[in-house]
Amino acid sequence: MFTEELPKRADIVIIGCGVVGCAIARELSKFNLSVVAIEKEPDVGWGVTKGNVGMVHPFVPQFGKLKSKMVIEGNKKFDEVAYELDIPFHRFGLLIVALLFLQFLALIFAFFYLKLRGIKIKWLRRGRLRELEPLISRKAKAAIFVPSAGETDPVKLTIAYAENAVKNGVKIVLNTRVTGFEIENNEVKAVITDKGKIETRFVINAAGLYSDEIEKLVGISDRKMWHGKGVMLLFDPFIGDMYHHFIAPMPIRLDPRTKGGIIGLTVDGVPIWGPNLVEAKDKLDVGVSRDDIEMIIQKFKPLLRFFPDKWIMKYYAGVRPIDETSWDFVLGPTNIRGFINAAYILSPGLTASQVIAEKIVDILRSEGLQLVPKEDFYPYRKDIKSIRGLNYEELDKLIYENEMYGNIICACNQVTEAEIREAIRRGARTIDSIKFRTNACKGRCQGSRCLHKIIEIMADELGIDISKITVKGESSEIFVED
Amino acid sequence: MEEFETDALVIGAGSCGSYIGVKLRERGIRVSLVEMERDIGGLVRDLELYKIEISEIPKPLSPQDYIQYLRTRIMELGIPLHTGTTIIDLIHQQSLFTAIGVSKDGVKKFRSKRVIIATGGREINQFDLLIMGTRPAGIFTGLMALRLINKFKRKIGKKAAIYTNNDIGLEVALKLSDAGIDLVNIITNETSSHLSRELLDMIRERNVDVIEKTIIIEVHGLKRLESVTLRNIESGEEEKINVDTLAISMGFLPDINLISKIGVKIDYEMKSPVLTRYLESSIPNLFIVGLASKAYKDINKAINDSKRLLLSLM
Repeated sequence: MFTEELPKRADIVIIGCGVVGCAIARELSKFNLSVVAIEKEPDVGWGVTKGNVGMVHPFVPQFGKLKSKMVIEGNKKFDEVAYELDIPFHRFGLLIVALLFLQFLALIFAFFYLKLRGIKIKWLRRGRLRELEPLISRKAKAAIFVPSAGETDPVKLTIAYAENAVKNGVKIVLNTRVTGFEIENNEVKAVITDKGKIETRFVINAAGLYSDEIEKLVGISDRKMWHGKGVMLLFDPFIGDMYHHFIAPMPIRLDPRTKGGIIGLTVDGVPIWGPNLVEAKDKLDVGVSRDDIEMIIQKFKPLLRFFPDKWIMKYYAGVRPIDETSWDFVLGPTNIRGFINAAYILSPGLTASQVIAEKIVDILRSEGLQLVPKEDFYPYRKDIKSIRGLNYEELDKLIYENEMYGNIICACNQVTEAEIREAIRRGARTIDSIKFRTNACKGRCQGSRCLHKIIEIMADELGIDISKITVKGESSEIFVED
Repeated sequence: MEEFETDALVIGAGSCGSYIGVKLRERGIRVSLVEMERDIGGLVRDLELYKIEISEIPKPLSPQDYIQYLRTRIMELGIPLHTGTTIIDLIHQQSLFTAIGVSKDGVKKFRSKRVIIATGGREINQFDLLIMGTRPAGIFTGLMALRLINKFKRKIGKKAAIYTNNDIGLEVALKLSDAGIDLVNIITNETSSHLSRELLDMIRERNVDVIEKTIIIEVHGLKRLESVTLRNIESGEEEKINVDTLAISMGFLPDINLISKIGVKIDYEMKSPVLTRYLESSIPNLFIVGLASKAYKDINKAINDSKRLLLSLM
């Protein structure tokens, strides 16, 4: 699936294989071009993408910005993307709730404002709100219902874009770090990496959290990145039926940097709360503190009458790249010819990924790249077949065809040996890669009952010694050698 | 799809489920055992120093001897045992249970009037304890650390700390040390008087400090664990120790995977199913025993408590 061998030249080099880089890779694979995407991590989607809550946003409050325009379009396109790429996607709908009188006033204002903007919304009175969400706080006065809000799995979407791009001829090179550029007469000639040089005329900077460093390597330094840390809280799936929509408190004051977080559900029915926003010390500051957890619980718990917040299952943090001056996506050509930014993509970059990719294709066209549609482009990709959701006859037949479907490895999420082996065949080389593809180790025991089995399967499938097996790439080995 | 019928279906053939299965059969009840692993024994199968103490067995047994005893009894009594079979669904209809099992031989349907869930517990982990910080490699639950060492015969780190409040944790510590891993500290949130003197002496012989009344509040490191921050519960003093491995052995929480699916009433505070004195759940004729029934620090207590079930089924 992926490669570590860097080709000598390409028409276009994409730097960064997050959701944006992979969406661009797939979009470009629709044309007769040689496209190479470079990623420093051992898998795709491990940067900003991984720390995302997974919400497919209906809008962002700061209208007039590029991101606001793209998110609305992206939301509309999501059903098609999800269908073609066979990724989980549910439109849970969003409830923006007013508890205080001041919020109620703001909610009325927001309702007419959003209506004017053409967003499909509904006003819900207290009674109707309670019917929809029986556990909503008694203080809830009213809500705006936004049916188009949805949830997907950010890493699965990225993997799906990547797999489909590779199927259509893109080369994705992992474990490779960009160290410089060759520039002549203000024009990109080649990208230099720790694995060698690749000649190209066009470079797409989709390096996410590191897009500022890539800009610096090419000699652009007119922007400053602000690092916004966001913590997500996951609760035990057992309490996943306490609410059925995204729920957010109506903000009284808008913070241009954030939409404020939500109470949500992952596509697997796991309650997810967050994110908050605090300044990160640096790009690697993904530590979670007590303050973060308390901040999130205090913010969201009043929305519900009852929620057993003791059932925390996991927490994690992501760092968002924010352009300090615009608080917006940075898309487009630069004063270095051939160097094109798809940079500083913060939320809702996930929702907008497809639209960003299409926009980048337009930009490349206007920059003089010849785009000839590929006749045999194949838009579909199938997810790894899992046993979840099958009826017993289908399951029995599946096991008869492949007995590894009868060997359940992860008991929490019912992941079988067949799925884990298929994930490895599709490029998973670390424990985390298997986790993101199959949901193994993502349940309430967090891998404490199946890690040894996954290690064994990996060593067998890849024919490698267990000392080579890592959780998240180099220097995260599970075993140490003497 | 194969179908089986029995009077009492025991799901999980660990130290508790197998025992209950044997006892029920001895009392003349038709029993079947289902186990997801290839062999019986459950969580204790990697332990050696731990002693199984059951009131009617005259002397404490090592886990291996205990498992052998159970294996022999299951054979002698002719109890049907389905290993490598994971129950993924349990349906309750007209006072009859249907359990759906998945195995390499296909889907198996078990029908039974009574079901005893003995799916055991899961070890309390970093997140249950709200240990803050990052999520690097090198943090294991105690029994997983032990299993990795036993199974692969390799070191899982260079310098390790053990966070524990029970004897299983001490055994994990000794095994890690035996495997050549430099044992830095044992950290316990209680006093060491709760722990086995014998095991403590063995640990002190290796010049390992036991830090009492101390909790771990934070872990550091991006790829692999680099250090952990400790806090003394009484003085509030904090200390950072450099280790690349942390084994957490702080007891067990019930495995609620199956029971949450069929709508058994669960106590939100205790994170455990609501049970009668005889371990019957809110669904009649559905019993939950052992580590699956409530949070336990100790496996022996879980096995001994589960005997209450026998009183009601006699």
